[in-house]
Amino acid sequence: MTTGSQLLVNDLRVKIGDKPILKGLNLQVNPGEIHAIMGPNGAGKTTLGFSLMGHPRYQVTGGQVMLGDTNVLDLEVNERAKAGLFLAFQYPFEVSGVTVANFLRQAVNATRGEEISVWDFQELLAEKMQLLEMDEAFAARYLNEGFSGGEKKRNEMLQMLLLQPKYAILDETDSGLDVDALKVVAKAVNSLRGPNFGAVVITHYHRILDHIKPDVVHVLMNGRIVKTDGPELAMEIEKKGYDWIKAELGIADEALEAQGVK
Amino acid sequence: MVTAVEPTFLESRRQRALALTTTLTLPAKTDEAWRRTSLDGLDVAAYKPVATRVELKGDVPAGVIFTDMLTAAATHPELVSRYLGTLLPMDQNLLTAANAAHLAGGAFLYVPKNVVIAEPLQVVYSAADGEAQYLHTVVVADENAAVTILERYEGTGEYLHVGVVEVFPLQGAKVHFGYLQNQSEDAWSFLFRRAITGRDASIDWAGGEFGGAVVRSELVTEVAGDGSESTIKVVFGAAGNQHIDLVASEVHTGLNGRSNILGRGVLTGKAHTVFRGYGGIRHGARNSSTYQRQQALILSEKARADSIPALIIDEHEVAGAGHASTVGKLDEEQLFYLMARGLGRREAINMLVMAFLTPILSEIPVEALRAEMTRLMGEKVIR
Repeated sequence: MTTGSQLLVNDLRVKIGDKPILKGLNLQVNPGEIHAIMGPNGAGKTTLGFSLMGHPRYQVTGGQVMLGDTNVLDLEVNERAKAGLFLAFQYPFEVSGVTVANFLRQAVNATRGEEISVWDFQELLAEKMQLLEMDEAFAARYLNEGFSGGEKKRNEMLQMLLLQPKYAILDETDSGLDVDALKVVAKAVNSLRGPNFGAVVITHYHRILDHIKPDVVHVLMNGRIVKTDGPELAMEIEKKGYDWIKAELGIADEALEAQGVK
Repeated sequence: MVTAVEPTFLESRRQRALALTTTLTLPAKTDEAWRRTSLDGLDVAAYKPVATRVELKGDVPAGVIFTDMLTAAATHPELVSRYLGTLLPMDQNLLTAANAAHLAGGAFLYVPKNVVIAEPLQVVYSAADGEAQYLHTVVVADENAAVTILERYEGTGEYLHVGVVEVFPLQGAKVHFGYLQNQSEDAWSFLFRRAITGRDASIDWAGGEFGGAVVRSELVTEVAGDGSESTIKVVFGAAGNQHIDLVASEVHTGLNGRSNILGRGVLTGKAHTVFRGYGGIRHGARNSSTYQRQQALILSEKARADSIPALIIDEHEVAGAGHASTVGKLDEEQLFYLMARGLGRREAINMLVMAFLTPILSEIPVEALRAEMTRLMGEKVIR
C-alpha cells in the first residue's frame, strides 16, 4: 500500500455574504502529521473547517484545496467525505427521528461505497464505542437529540473512528469538555495516528494539545496563517496569549474585531 | 349497472338524488369550507358512471357481513337502509347527490356484537380513464365488536372518484379505519368520510394521501357517545401540481370524550396542500378533550402548505384542548451535517423526510399500511 496523500490548501479565499473571512490561507499537512491551528476569536478558524468540508454558506472566491491529486473544491460535500475528509463539528446538529446506529451504518455504507453486513457493523460499532467509553444504549438514541456537550463530542469521535478518514479536522472539539472527556477525544485521535491519517486540530486553547501532541502549530489571524512553528509555539501562546504575535506582525486589533465572525 | 333486484329504498333514494343533481352545483370557492380549492375545469357530466371495480379481501367469521354495497342492499335492505346516507346527507352539493344517484358499489361491513376480527379486512377500488366512480362504504361495528378495515384507491388516466364512507362503532366497539389514497396523478378525487361513536366506542382513522390531481378528503367524527374516543392521523405527500385539501374534524357532543388529530405531510414541486383541523366541543359535552397537531415539511421553493387549525369550544367544563401547527423547510444545516458523513443529497433528504414522519408513522396501527406509506412517500417526494 502506498502512503497517504497530502492535504494542501493554497491561497484559499472565502467569504460569507459580502464579508471576506479567509484571505489567502496556506496549509500543508503531510500524511501521518497532526497540525494544530490556534487563533483568537474571529480569526476564521471555523470558516476554515466549514470551507474545507463545503458548507454552502461559505463561498470560496479563490485558491485550491488538494487531497492528493483530487481538487476538493470541485466535489460535493458527500464526495469530500468519501475522498477522506472528516469534519468534527463544534456544534453537531440534532436530527430527531434518526437513531445514532442507523445514521452511522448509512454513513459507513456511503463512504465505503458498499454495504457492510449488519453483523460486521454491530461488531465495529461495539468496539469503537468501548474505546470511547460509551454506553450501548447510546446507539439507539436519536442523533444528538438531548445529548450533553460531552456526548455530542464523543459522538463526533465515534463517527470519525467508524469512517476512518485520511484527514480529520477537529473544529474546537475541546470546547466545553472536562478533562475526562478531553482524554477520550485524544484517545480517539491517537488511536488513528499512523502513516495514513492526518489531523488538523483547530483550537482556542493549548489544553487539548497536552493530550494530542501536534507535529506543527500554526497561528491563524485575520484570515491567514501568520506564524508556523513546532509544538513549543503552543506553549508560548499558552503563556503569553496572542498579543505579542499581533505586535510582532503589526496586526491591528480592529481588523479582528471588524470581522465579527468566529 | 343497476341490478334487477334493487330494493325499493335504494331505488327511491336514487330518484331523489337524481332530482337533486339537476338543482345542486359543485362546491364553490365562495363557500368558506372550499375557499382554497378550485373545482374550475371539473365537468361531472363528462365522466361516465360505470360499474365499480371493487375487490374485497379477508376472511370473516360467521355472522359477519362483508360484501359489495349493492349486494348488501339487496340481501339486507333493512340493515343497510338504517345506516346508508345517515351521517352524510346527499344534498350537500352536486358531488354527494351524484354519488347517491349513480351509486355503483362499495363495501358494506357489519360485525355483530362481541365479534373481534384480528386480521385487517381490505377493500381495493380502481378506476380507469374517463370513468366516474361513485362509491359508498358503510361499516357497522355492533356492541363491543372490533375490526380493522383498510381501503385503497388507485387508477390510471383521468377520472372522477366520489366516495362516501360512514362508520358506526356502536357501544364499546372499536374500529380502525385505514386508507391509502394513491389515485392517478390526473384524477379528481373526493372522499367524504364520517363517523359517529357510541358509548365508550372508538374510531381510529389512519390515512395516507399521495395521489390525485385535485383531492378533497374529509374525515369527520361526531364524538357522540359518552366516554368515546376518536383519533385522526393523516400522512400526506404531494408533488408536481397536485392540490390536496384535507379536512380533519372532531365534533364532541357526548360527555367525557377524547379526540386527537395528527397530520404530517411532505411537499415538493409546485404542490399545494390545505389541512383544516377542527376540534369542536359543543355545549353540554362536558369534560371532553380535543387536541390537534399538524406539521408540513416543504422541500421546494414553490410548494405551499396551508395549515388551518380551529378550536371551537361552547362548553365551560373542558378536560383539555389545544392545537399546534408548523410549516417548515428542510433544514440546510442538518442536510450539510448528514452529507458531511458521506450521504448523497437524495439519501440525506430521504433520511430527514423519514425522520420527520417517524412520530406519525409509529402511530399507524397496521404494519402493512405503515410500510406502504413509507414506500409511497419515498416515490413521491424523493426524486
